[in-house]
Amino acid sequence: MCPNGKKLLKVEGLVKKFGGFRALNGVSIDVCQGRIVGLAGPNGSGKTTLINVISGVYRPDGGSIEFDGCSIYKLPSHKIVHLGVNRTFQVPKPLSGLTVWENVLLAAVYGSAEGDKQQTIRDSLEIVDLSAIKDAISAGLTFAQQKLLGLATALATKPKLLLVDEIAAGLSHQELLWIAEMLQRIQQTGIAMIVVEHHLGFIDTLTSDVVVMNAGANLFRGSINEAAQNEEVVEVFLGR
Amino acid sequence: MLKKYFPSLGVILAIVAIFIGLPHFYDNQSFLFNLMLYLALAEGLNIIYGFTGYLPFGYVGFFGAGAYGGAIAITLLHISPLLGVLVGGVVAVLTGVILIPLLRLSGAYFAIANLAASQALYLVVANPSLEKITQGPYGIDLSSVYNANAGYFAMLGVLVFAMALVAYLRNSNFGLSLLAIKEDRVTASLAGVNVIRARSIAWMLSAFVAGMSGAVFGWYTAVFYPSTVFSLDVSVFTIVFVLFGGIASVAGPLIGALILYSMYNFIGISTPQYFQLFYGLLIVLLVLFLPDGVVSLLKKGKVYVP
Amino acid sequence: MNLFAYTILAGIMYGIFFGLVGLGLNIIFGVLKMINLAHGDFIMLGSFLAFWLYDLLGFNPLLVIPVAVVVFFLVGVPLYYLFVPRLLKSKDPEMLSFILFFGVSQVIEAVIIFSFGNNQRSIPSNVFGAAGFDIFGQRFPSAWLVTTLVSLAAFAFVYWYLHHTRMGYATRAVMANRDEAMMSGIDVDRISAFVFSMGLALAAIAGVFSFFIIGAASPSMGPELTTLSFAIIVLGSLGSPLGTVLGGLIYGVAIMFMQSYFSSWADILPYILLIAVMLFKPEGLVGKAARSA
Repeated sequence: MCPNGKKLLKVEGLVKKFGGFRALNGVSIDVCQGRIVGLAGPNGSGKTTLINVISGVYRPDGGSIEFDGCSIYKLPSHKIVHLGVNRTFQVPKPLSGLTVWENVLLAAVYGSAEGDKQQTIRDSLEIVDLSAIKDAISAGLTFAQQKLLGLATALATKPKLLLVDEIAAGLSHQELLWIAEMLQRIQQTGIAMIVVEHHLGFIDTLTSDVVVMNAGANLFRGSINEAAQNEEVVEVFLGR
Repeated sequence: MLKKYFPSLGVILAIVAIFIGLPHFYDNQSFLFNLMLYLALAEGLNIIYGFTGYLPFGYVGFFGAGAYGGAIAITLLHISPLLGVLVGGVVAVLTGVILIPLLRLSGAYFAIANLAASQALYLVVANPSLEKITQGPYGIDLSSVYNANAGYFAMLGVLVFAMALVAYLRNSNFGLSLLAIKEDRVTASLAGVNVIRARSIAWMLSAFVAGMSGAVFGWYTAVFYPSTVFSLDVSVFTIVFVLFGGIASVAGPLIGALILYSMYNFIGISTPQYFQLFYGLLIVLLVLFLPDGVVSLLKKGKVYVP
Repeated sequence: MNLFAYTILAGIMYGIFFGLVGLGLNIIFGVLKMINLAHGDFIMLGSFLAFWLYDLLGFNPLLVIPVAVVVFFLVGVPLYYLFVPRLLKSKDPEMLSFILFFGVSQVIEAVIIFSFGNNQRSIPSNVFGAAGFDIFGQRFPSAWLVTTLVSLAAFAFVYWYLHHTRMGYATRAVMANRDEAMMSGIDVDRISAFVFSMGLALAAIAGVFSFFIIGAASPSMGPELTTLSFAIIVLGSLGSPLGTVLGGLIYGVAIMFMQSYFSSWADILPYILLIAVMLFKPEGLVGKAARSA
């Protein structure tokens, strides 16, 4: 049950097949308004696939996805974005021929109906600290900067729910702390999140609510401490 | 906000001035007409290839559909030729709508399927069993409404329309969204762009330009055959001009078509094979050494290309 | 009933030949993942080579085969090293190679028009004897039988090459995954240059015999043959050379039926087939199982 009473995302029994392989095999997850859920699990457990299906990048093969009271199951990405869900990529995919500003502009213009677009772009760049290089061509950005740009474009579409896919991967410890703090700031503006992370340590700094997946299905839900005590969780993380 | 349109507007006005002024000094009107035709087709192809990356090898299909659509409307419905030009554009757009599923194919597969579609359309139009409607292979005769000067200015009108469309795409958010689709469909759709709708609109705009060009061509030429208006050469010329000039700007295709079509006309007309050879080699060299066309040299020199 | 039997038999013979028409394109696609848009022009070059040798020296088309193999290996290897490695490194190999080979196609067509004029050329079909032969009571020209046998031999050769030679084994590795093949120490460029030339030679051989099935050769027939070949290999299965024969057979039988029963619409068939298969069954009719072949 949600403390503020409102459930934002409700995924039930989600299935995604690639040929004969069931990458998602009946996974369920729900997120309360404005809260962060950590999503952990070993490689290949289906975390990224889940993000891809919720955000409409992949089409699901079964189950249900409800966001803010309406079904987004099998909707195309842009409609899901318009309803208020967006995501970032583990390997960032900026439009490399365009400038940082143009990348965010596109999202501000097409991603959300309301608000002053110029202000939205400025705010989005501000929160990820990219304002200084807004006129740079995004192909020339560092890996970390491209990740931040991905976050800024997602924010410019004014999401209520943000799916953050392995944002810490490939970043230094310093950058990691900084990003964790930034995600907390984003949460304070009222945006709920699913934060996918391979390492439980990063999730621990953000939330105590963790879902652990294995083989395309739920394995565990609870706090990090409980997870560390759970035999099954320990087993899938350490291998047998 | 409108200020960013000024450079493009300058280019358009210059082109208009050239084609209004030149006939006073140079009396080969049919050359000037054909030049405008290829300028318009190059801009039309630029809309779909330059902004979304789909290379329509069967672009001539829209040209032919427009020529026939316009001519049939003029002869059977007795409408005015100017209205016929509009009908030609609409017929091409309808053809484009039928072909929208092809946009599901990527890269070279789209190109070759589109080529096949234009050939299929040609064989349908030229088929003797449709003689009652299309005159089959025997061609169309519009000499009763022939008017060279009116046709000339109609072509200029279509050209201005095509340039204005590209100027809009070059400077608008919609154009930006198309460039985003070209680069990465997933990223574009997560920015909230309706990918399928946006690329279909670009496709239909591109078809509209080619269709109107075809209809004006039919009117200006008065007598034409399916083999003329569905000739693969039309696609080939247009693609070469756009590749040579450079994509996704107003000026690139204009530069390509102006230079190459003039050269073709002054050197190659008696033995077109010299030009086929020249174009062929040019394509090979462009792909290997200058894949973004002549304007990429200007851009490297930090020159703004409208 | 007679017409029906004739149509089926002729369709099978045609189909086997059309398999050969697409084979070279498919084998190059298999190794390079590029569409050789000049494929039809290499077929046309084969036709003109055969015509020239027949006209000048009275060569029997069968004798042209070894000549074509030598000529197109001499052409193919330098052509490969000139273009392909550079294209593979470019930002969009699929599209740029497509455009580049289109340029090559234009050059070939122009050169042939310079050399032979823009005329149709043919070799009389009685070079293999005027008698003809009977199958199930239907009479067919001898040239058809020879063409069918040559096409079957070409498929047998490609099968033998891919499955019973060391280089063929390496070729299949490159087809499956170019990068991994390179990592495992295969000289990918040497294999690719060889297969590229083989693809051109196979196209040329199809050209040598096209007189007897398709009819007179003209310098401008290239693009049409390229589209037809593409339709055939998409029907069979892209990148699976031996699947081409299936595409050829379907096309051959279908075109024969069209010519027998709806002749005025027969020309349109390859284009409609191409579009239909690409939209509704893009993986081809052979599907996954035969893909690795």
